[in-house]
Amino acid sequence: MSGDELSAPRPAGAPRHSLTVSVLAAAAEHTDCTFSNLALAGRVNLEQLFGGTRYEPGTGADPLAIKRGRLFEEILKKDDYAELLNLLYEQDAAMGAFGADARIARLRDIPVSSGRSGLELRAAATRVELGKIARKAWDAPTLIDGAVIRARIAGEIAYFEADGLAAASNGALHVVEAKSFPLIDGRCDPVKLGAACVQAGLYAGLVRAQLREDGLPGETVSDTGFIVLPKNTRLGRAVLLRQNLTFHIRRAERLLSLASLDVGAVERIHDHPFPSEKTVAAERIDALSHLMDQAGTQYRPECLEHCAAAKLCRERAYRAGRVALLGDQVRRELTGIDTLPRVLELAGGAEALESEQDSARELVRARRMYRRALKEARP
Amino acid sequence: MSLRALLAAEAYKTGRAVRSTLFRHRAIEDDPIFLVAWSNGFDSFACTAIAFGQGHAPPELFVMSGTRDRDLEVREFAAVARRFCELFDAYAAASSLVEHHGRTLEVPVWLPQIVIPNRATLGLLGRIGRRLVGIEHPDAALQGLLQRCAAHLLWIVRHADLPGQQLVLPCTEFLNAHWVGAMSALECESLFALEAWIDPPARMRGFEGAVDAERFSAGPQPKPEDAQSIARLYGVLESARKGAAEEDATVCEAQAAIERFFSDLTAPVWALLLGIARRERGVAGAAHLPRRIERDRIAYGLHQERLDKMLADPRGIRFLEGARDAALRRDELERAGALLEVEEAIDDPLKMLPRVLAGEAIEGQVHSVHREKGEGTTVELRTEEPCTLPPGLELWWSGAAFGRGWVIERIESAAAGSKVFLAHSLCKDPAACPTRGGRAVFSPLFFDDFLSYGLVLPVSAPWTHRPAA
Ligand code: SF4
Repeated sequence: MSGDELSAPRPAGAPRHSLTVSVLAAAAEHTDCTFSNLALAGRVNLEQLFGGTRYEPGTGADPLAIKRGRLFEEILKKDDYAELLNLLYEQDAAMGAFGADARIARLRDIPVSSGRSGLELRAAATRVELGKIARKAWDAPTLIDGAVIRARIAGEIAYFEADGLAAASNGALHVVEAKSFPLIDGRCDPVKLGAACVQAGLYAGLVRAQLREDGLPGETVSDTGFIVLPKNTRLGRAVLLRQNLTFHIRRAERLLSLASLDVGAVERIHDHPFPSEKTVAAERIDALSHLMDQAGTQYRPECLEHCAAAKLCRERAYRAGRVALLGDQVRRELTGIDTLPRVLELAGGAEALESEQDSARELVRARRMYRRALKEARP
Repeated sequence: MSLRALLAAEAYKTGRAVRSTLFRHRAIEDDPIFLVAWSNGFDSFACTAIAFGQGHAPPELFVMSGTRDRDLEVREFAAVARRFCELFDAYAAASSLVEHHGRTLEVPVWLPQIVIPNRATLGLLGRIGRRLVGIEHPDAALQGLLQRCAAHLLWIVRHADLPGQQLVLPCTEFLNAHWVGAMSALECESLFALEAWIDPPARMRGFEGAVDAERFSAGPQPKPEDAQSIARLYGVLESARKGAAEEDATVCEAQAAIERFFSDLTAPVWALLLGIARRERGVAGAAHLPRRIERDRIAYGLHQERLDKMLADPRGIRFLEGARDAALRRDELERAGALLEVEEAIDDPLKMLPRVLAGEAIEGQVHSVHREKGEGTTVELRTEEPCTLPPGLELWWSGAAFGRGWVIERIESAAAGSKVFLAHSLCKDPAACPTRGGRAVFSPLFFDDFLSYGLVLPVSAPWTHRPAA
């Protein structure tokens, strides 16, 4: 059974959401977690599912940030995309070849026709334009605004809206991601920039998959993406950062193939589907916990930044005394040891399993020297 | 194996963070300046409110009204600048004289210390400084004040990069360097969570306290729900301003609501900073703290001395003048980092421990000390575990880590450990020698002369390449 044919159990009551690139980007951070993969495959809205419980994730985006994002987008598009095209022209010599007669495919303006949704129509148009770029057609666009990429994720069709796709004269296609956090004195928030790169990598992965589906070379999509930011807090001018997306694209492709969706897990949890959001909070948490036990999770502190289930997973990890609570670096130092109580047992001289022996030896040393240092300091 | 992993497991068991040092490695002044700053949540570059003051009085809160009226905005900045300069410059009033590179320098009697929640606050201070630099105002006195404050802020941010400096004390950094809880590096960024592990609320374990404490932010980024409230309050102010004067009751009311909000946001952070300073001040300071305090006082004295000249310079505020200064600065940072590493390890056995665990240093009992006339001194150290260091290696005894070191002459196995024979050709002073029967650590760390002297470079850069005029 392929990932496409699988579908996770999702009762009518479980809150669902459509797949967006930010949902995918978050999932890309933990492709090794079966529970999270099942939620993704089932389009289960974990944020909503944890709502009203003590594990509720932090509230969403700031309204001012959304407003700021919209304003910045308007600035980029003003006067026939003059600001954006200028940036592309300045930054990439190959793009410069298009000069004044840049062709813009404005897909947001496509009228909705009967029987087909706007997204479907835009996805079809995007496909046509992408084909032109890959074939280096004379009428290939320089910029596709409002591109929509259609992808099959775990057996269901999903549509993803990209900020922009820019094509260079050499036939290479670059993902353009506009963000409203500023670049000041050449520096910007590295976490936000990283998140923008993850998203750009996903778009690149999606476009590559689309091209390959159409028998065209996926490599048309360049590993270099363009992140466009305001040059200062006042949004007036923009700046373009070239980013190498190789790593993010590779990870996105892995996620998109959903190779990590564990078939056995789907079968195991068949009798324990995601609960409805209407279920009483305590019961909902019990059901989710049970599902986590059945499917398996891979908690690590970074989950707190990406996954709506993180607060529950962290507490479960704490109750079980998992070494993973402390992060990857410490986990590597404690190779072979799963729990913190076991760390103390081994440090105290308990017999070690074969897999624990290296770490245990070091723990015994560390404890002995630590105690001696304390004793000498307080005679 | 890091000691941290073991201590984190211990913290997990007891439900409280464990001290990872025997001494306090940063100074905490009796009455430092405490400072809390807030951005508006969505734009981490915009300072929306700042509160500061000394611990003996309530904080003074300054809230930016988000006005589009440039004059009003400048006046708001000026209020912050005036009060900050008063506080920071006050340290120069009580001064003493020290010898510095062959001349007399006026330095403050007390360390002008600023206690802040975290390094992100420092980032925001730097941005305020750069913002102030960019303001041009026809009123010369006002302009001078803003530039003075900018110069102070930018200098403070720059000085805070110097390893071991104590002029700025970011509390998360301080606590992470002195305590270990069963938490990840990511969670350690939260001052409230860290403190909850160190001093959990009644009937709670560290973990539960830390989870609960995540409701609070120590700035500059407010929590998302607070950012939403801030956005709403500024929205109300913006609507009130439409067609109204700044003095109108609705505008004043909207502004007062914003001020109340930031005051409430600041209160728990302020209390937290004061509490941390009070508790940690009670821990014995490490032996080399006074040297670093002296260095900070000298740095402040030099900054004050250069300030007027810098402000009068038509090219504006600048700390680096070309490649020579950049090279000197880099050298200064590297030396300070290396010296700090030696000082902390020499001062504190728990800071030395990671080197012993890594096999870079040896620790054991001094079995014998032989002083032979004209032939130097030999020490036999009995270690509890086999010494893996090679003969011929030079190490320094942590009790006198300067000058020539001790050379490992030979190693013999003994029970589970080793007999390590170390020789020193010049060790005549008994105080520079470990005593028989005591414990001793020999490590590669020592006070190299190179750490104490500044790099000397020709005044004009001898670069062969000169950019075209
Ligand atoms: S928080 Fe839990 S469910 Fe989410 S990715 Fe991490 S381990 Fe998986």
